[in-house]
Amino acid sequence: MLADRISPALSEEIDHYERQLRLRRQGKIDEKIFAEIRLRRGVYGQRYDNGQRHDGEKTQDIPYPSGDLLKGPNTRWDAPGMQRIKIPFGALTTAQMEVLADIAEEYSDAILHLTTRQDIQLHFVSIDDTPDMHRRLAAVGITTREACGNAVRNVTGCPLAGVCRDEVFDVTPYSKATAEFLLGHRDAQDFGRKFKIAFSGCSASACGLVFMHDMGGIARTRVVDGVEKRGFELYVGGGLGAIPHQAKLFDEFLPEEHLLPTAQAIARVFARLGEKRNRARARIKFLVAKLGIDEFRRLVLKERETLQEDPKWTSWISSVNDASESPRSYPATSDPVGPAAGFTGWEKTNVYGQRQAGFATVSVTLPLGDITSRQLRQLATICRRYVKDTIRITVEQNFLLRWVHQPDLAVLHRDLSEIGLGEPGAHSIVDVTACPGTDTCKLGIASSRGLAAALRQRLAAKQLQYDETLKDLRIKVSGCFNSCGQHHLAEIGFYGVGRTINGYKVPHFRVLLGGRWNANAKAFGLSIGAVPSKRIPETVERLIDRYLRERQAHEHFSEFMARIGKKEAKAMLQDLMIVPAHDVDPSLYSDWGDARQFTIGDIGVGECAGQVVSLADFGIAAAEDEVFEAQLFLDEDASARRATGKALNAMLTAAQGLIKLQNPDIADDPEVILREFRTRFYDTELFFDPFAGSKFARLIFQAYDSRSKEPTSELARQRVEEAQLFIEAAHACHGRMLEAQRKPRPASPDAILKSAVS
Amino acid sequence: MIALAQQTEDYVSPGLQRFCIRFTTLASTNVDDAKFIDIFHAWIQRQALPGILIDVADYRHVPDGLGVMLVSHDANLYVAPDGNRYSLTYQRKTAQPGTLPQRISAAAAVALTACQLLEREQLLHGALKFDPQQWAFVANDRLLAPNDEATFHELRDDLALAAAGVYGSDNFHTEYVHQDPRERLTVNVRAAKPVDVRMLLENIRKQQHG
Repeated sequence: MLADRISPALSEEIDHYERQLRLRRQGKIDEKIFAEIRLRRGVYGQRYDNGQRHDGEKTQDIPYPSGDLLKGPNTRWDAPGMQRIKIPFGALTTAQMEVLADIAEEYSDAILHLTTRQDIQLHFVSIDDTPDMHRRLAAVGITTREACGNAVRNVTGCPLAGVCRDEVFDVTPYSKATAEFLLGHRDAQDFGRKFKIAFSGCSASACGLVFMHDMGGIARTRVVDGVEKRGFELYVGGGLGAIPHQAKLFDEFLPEEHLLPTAQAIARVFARLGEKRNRARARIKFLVAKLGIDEFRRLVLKERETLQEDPKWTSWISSVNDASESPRSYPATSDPVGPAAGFTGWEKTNVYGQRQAGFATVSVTLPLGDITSRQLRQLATICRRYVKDTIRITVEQNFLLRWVHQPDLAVLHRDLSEIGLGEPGAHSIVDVTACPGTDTCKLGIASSRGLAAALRQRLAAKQLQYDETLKDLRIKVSGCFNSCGQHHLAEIGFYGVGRTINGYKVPHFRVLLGGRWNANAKAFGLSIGAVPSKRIPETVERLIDRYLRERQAHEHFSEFMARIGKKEAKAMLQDLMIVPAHDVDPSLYSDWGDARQFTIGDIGVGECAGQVVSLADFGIAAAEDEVFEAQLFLDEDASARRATGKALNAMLTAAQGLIKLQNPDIADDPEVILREFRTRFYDTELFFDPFAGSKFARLIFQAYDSRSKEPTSELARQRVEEAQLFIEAAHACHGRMLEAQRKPRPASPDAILKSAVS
Repeated sequence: MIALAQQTEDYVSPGLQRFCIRFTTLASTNVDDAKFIDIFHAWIQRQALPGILIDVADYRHVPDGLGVMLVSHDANLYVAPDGNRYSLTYQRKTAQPGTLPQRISAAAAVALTACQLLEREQLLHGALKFDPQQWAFVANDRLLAPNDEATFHELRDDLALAAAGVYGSDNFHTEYVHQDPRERLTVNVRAAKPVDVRMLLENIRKQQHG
């Protein structure tokens, strides 16, 4: 019986959730409250869950049988949703893999998606199936509790922990203790936003990505009274999102026994002082920025002193050196076979020699982080044969098998190849990371997965995964500015935006350069401009070809780009940014893997409107130039003051461009621009993003109000990011205004779909 | 054992509701898999299949994967390469009324309609020709229908009833597929003589209309 294998506490939790679900169906729980309840069980909404979908020609209502019953604001009950499943530090057993495979097959679409935070996501799930699914997961020790919502999300950890050649010590027990301690903790239930934690065994590699987390620890040791003590270099207030923040150093050495009480104190301070009403500024990074790290630290340490002693803080420490996993005693094969085709390349990119002699880790490459149920089940069998229960999910969306006996590598590769999982290229330039984007995400603007698949195919065809020069170069793609694809962290990053060209929408990606994947995500990239989505593969090839051609000895890609400068990098791509008319090249007007025309409704262009549009376009384009100049001030002059000034000007120029739609005679005076922008676009909510609300509109007022403040380089960088977001919001606002003004016209005769209709 | 079949008509049965019907093509070449994306989007536009059609999922990047999937509220339908053939799988998700044979028969009708649309699809230039002489039934619910001989025996009569409706005769046989017990219970149904899609659709239509 399933019930016999579920702990009473978990069982009660799931029963409670099921009761809430039933009550919501009966209308006895408010939809907003129910939304948070289901989110805290990892049950997310998905694209088209408002009951509408644009089919390429018109917006169609989706006639879900439960009608107007909602599972959250504007979220239809029957709409397929996403189930996120937390896998603390990505550690899985074979039994868990099999259950995950089963539930994906029975309740989802038989595809499991591994995320950049070591979770697993299932898509197209019915909310009515979620309690049963949760019970089956609970039977193998998996909870979905707090996988979403304003809570402590999955605690991630370096997947090499315990076997890494460079780590200070194994952070696995610390990740585990933190995850267990904070799960459902009363002090971690009242946040304004989510809270993400990561641990890394070293500071040089990217495996833990500590600097982009709300709280992160890097393993450190210190000799105290002749005894080596373990602890963490602790960081707080990092985060990606629309405006990335580097985490701030909280403590150079936090002794291990202080880890959990400090985490608890941080949670309490965040819950008490963090923003609650304005979601856009509710992450802890904003609180740390507002208070300053010194004041934040003082408050946390004071809070820690007030806490009542909890045995759970330290009860686990005595066993941190107990081996949490062990290898098979002997290699699985005593009769070595010859290597299968492709073994050499695979060994080069997917095998890592552990610090324990005779053992290696093996990365199982999953294109876009996807694996089928059948493959996962077969992979579980392979794991049992070669490594026991020593499997981790990596932050690059692959599986990692640890403790493989070196003599087993060839036969293991052969077995993996037989189930379609023997591809090389893990953790290489072809291993492109992407968020779900427009495939399933409600916020997606462009098809990040479609682009990632196209890039992967194109770069692998050139065998770039084997090029040693490109070994540390990563490409990451997000479908919007929200950074779920971690675009800021890659040497080449992209995030999706839209552009309106002569009344048609064109999917674009902003190109970010300057990020550094290694060193735990210590450097973030900045945008040099937007290129049509279908031209991104050519963009990547140009950048890489030039790097390979002109790099100096041992010069990393980011160093090369810094040497030639962003101005030159942008010039290289300038021609790709120019979009030909729809009639000339309609292929640019649809997205990857989607036959529909990208525009929301086909839009006609009137002559009168055309003139006004050109004024607005001109203003926004000028703003783009200014924000790029602001970046150059940052990079070349290291002038924070000039960069912030230019970034503010860029926002004012974009705002002025929009105002010209209604008042062509708008003055150049910033005060006038701001006043008119407030009246015409803020008070009317015309500028508001459908999901982010006033978030972007407020950026211009904040930047203006703080214009006399002496900026740090970090603030300048943030201001540049904010200006880019404001300009993107101006583009989007402009597009919405055009749509509202114009009448639909018949579909283009070139539409691909027409020819499909028999 | 929970009853797999609920014999009352017009009642959403608590019995087996999650199952798949799979048809396979004859050997086919020169098919551009990307065309399935265009085709499925067009099907959504004109609601070409029964059910609430929602979206298209592109899984072509997954090795040995599911190809291109048409997602609907009621079911998923995906077309994927299968050696030098293609398979079309119709995966029922939501509860249907009727007895189990009626539910299987109704699902087979939708799957066959999809086969017929693909055979006639202009974008594919007639490259796909399905072989409905054999199809597979997959029970997609391990809690209700574990993959073992006992479940097969329990299901066999209902499957036979459904297959008789599809083929219009008793001239077929069912075969339990022995495989990894962790996989889903799969039964192959094979007619003694070659048949075509149109013929089977006609059989089901006649059966449904008495």
